[in-house]
Amino acid sequence: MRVTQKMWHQSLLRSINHSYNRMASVDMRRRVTKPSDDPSATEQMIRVRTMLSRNEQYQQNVASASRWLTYSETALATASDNMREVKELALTAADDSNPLEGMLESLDAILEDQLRLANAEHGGRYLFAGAGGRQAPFELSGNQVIYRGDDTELTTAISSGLSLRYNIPGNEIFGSSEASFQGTTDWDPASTWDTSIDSLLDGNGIDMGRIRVTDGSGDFAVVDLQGATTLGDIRDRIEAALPDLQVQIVDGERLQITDIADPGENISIEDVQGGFTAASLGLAGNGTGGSLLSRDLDPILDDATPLTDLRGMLLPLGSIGISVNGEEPPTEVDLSGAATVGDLRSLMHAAVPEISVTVAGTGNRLQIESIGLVSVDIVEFDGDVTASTLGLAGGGDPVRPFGAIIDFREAVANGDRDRIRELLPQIEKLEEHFITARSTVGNRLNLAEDALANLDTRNFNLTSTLSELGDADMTEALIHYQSAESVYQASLMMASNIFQLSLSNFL
Amino acid sequence: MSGLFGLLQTAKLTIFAQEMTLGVLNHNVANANTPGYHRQRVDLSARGNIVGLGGAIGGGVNIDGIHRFNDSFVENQLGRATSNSGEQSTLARNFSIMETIFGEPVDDVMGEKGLGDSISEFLNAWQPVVNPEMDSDDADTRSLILETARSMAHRFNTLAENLQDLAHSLRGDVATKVGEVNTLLDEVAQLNLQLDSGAIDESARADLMDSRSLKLNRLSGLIGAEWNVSDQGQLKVYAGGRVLVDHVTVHGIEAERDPRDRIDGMRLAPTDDDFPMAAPGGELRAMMQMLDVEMPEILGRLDELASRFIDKVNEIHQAAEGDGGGGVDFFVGSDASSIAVSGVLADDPDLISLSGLLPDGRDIASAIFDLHTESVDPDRDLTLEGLYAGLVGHLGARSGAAMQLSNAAERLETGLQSRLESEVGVNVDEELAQMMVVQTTYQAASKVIKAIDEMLDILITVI
Repeated sequence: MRVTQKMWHQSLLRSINHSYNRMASVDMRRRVTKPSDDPSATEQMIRVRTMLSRNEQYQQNVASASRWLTYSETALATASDNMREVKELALTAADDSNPLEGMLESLDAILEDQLRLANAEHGGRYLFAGAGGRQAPFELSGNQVIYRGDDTELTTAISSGLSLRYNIPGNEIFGSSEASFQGTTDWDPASTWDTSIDSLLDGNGIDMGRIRVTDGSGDFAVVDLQGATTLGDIRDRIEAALPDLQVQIVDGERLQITDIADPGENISIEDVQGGFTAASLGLAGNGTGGSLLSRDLDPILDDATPLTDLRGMLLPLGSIGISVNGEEPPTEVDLSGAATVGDLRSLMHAAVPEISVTVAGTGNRLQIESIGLVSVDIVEFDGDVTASTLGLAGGGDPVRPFGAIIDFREAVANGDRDRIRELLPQIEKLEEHFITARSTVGNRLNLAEDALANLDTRNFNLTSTLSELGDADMTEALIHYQSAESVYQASLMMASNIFQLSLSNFL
Repeated sequence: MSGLFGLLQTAKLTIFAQEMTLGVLNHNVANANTPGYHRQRVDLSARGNIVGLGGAIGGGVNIDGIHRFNDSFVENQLGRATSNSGEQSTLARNFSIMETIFGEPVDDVMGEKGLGDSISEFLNAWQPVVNPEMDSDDADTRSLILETARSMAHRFNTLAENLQDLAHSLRGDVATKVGEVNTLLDEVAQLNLQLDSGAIDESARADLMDSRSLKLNRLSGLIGAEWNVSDQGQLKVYAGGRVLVDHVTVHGIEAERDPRDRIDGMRLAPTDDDFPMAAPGGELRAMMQMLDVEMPEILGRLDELASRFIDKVNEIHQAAEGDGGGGVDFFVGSDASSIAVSGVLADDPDLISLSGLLPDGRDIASAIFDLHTESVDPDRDLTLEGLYAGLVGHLGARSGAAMQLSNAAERLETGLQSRLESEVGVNVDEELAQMMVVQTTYQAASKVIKAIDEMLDILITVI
């Protein structure tokens, strides 16, 4: 091949250009600087970044909830100490030999401090005010403390599908002028085909999404459960998609899916990408032996729930006695005619109009509330265990720390030692109550800390993934640079040598 | 004629031939770096016999003409390679501009943010509502939501605007290149006319041919033109099934804006018949492809993302009940160019629902936040962020492929250029060596003349 000076020239220029470009394009920090460097890595990086952003939001939420809980815990610790002090004062005062002097001042100080704690703020919001948060929840009005907050439970998202409850409504801890208490027995309502999805898992409900079901013969179908409102809907949709399968309710608490065409063959259910439906139902997985069993679905009860559906209750019912403010004899309420939860409520309310009976927040028992009453007691009549069956026996002293302190103060002011002795059990119980509330908050705090640790780990993992995808390996980049540089130098040297060569130098 | 005078004649021819050769060598050296120059040689041949006393002898050297080195096979191949390389490099360049427009993957260290981040920020903006330490009041949260929404809408708008700007400058480029093509067509026809003229000598002819080759090659690079030369020396230039130059007749082309749905294209047509034509190759084909296919695809995906975003957020915001807000659209517009925060909300931020509840029981903050993971396209099971990631991935893959093709096309082009250069290029050393031969021959011929002169002297003195 003939080689001309121009060819030399051009090939030199090309190689100088090429090696210069290679040298200039070595990035010590980033491996992917534009999508075409690695399209799939770029795509993943965008996805990971959004996960990271979501995760950071969760971290903020949890961190913020933890601080809130920490403040709540501190306030409750002091409140609990105050209550112990009240108890010690009451014990002292109960003994006739001890003087009552100076006790009024102590009680005033404690009452004031307790009120301050109940109205504790953090970041401009009242800790124990429920949803409002902007108005002081407790107000001393005359001889009683009034609660102005509400009983909303506040939650914040702490990871995909998980939320953390971070507040305790003030009336649950510090009480109000209302005497109220909850039943002690879990009535455990049974699941039926009419049970609504929203009432499942203690009323938390389950998000209905798409699940993939495989029957014993290996046939599978994606069952779209979106829009299903009752357990019956779930059954109908699954059975319609795969006729081999039969959905049943066992023990009134779980769903069971059985392959009736191929008995004993494995069936399996999984969530379609991103869903939690099967997992929430406890159905996700492989069912050996031809059937799959869900978790205990724990629906909540409502007025229409028949008493026969309450698995935690022993029928038939008899009568109970309701005594308000310690009245004797108690008002007798005959519950034997009640067929539904609603009947129970209306019968009790009709007999004692001062109380109202509602379904408790947990959804599996009743709650008795009253306004302006000191106490509500439910007593059993001889040979009739109805009150125990309902879990309402003995009632409960209302949670009314302020009321108790105020009553105690009044008794001290009047020098009424009998009244003090009468109040003593209530005050002792209240100390317990604060310790319980404090430990509830402590548990949530632990939960938040665990969640935060998980989120931190996840954050670290996501960041390292991002770095693996997009960051340059410094050593590799350096080697690339050096090899490009040496090629560049060689090209330059060659250029300076070659251009000196010419026949004309020798003529 | 024979005898000494005849020999003098032969020597004179030798001198002429060497002078001519030197002249052509000089021309070669002078044009060693002229683009498109094909080296030339003087064709010499031995002259017929002169009949002398003792018989016939050779009559010296004949100058037959000037030969222009040529390799039409490689030149045709080079034309196609230039067309391809022009096309691929233009595609690669424009894809690379689009990559710059999107700016992904963003550089965290430099604090850069992409559309994906803006979307995340907007979806997170409601979270203070469910965040216990909302020490800011609702007005602050509303203004945070508005601000992130505006900045996200603005990013959508900017991306769409930048893509439209790129399309605009591409259309301008198409017009410019079409103008350049027309000029080249005129020049080629003009050169053909000059070549037809009998009055020019061979050297000038060779130079005209060089010039024509160069222009034809440029035409390949621009529009993928091909050509052939008939036995009678008539040159025809084709592109897209049309004859653009019929030896000396020019059929020019024109380009006009072709209004379309989102990205206007360009329409190419010969000036004569106005039937649309395609550019078969070269830079013009790449530009048309960008305008007709690639850019509408990218903008279309961006529009889809914007419109799904608008629909989803509006659906949630419309449905949210409670706390005074809700019941109105959050965003207005239907695509990436028109997406904007509803003016009603911007004027009265209190209409933003902060804690409204949806029929499915979720609060609005969670519902908006759930858009992170919620499928917005039932057919493809894609989230908003997935749609965006897919768009960038598609762009990267197309751009990467264009870059590779462009590199390969360029390598082929330079390879063929070297091959052609190897045949027709000037090697200065070779010319110098040739010059020494010429010099020596010239000296020798001069010596012959001197010898003849001395011999004539002797003859004259004797007489």
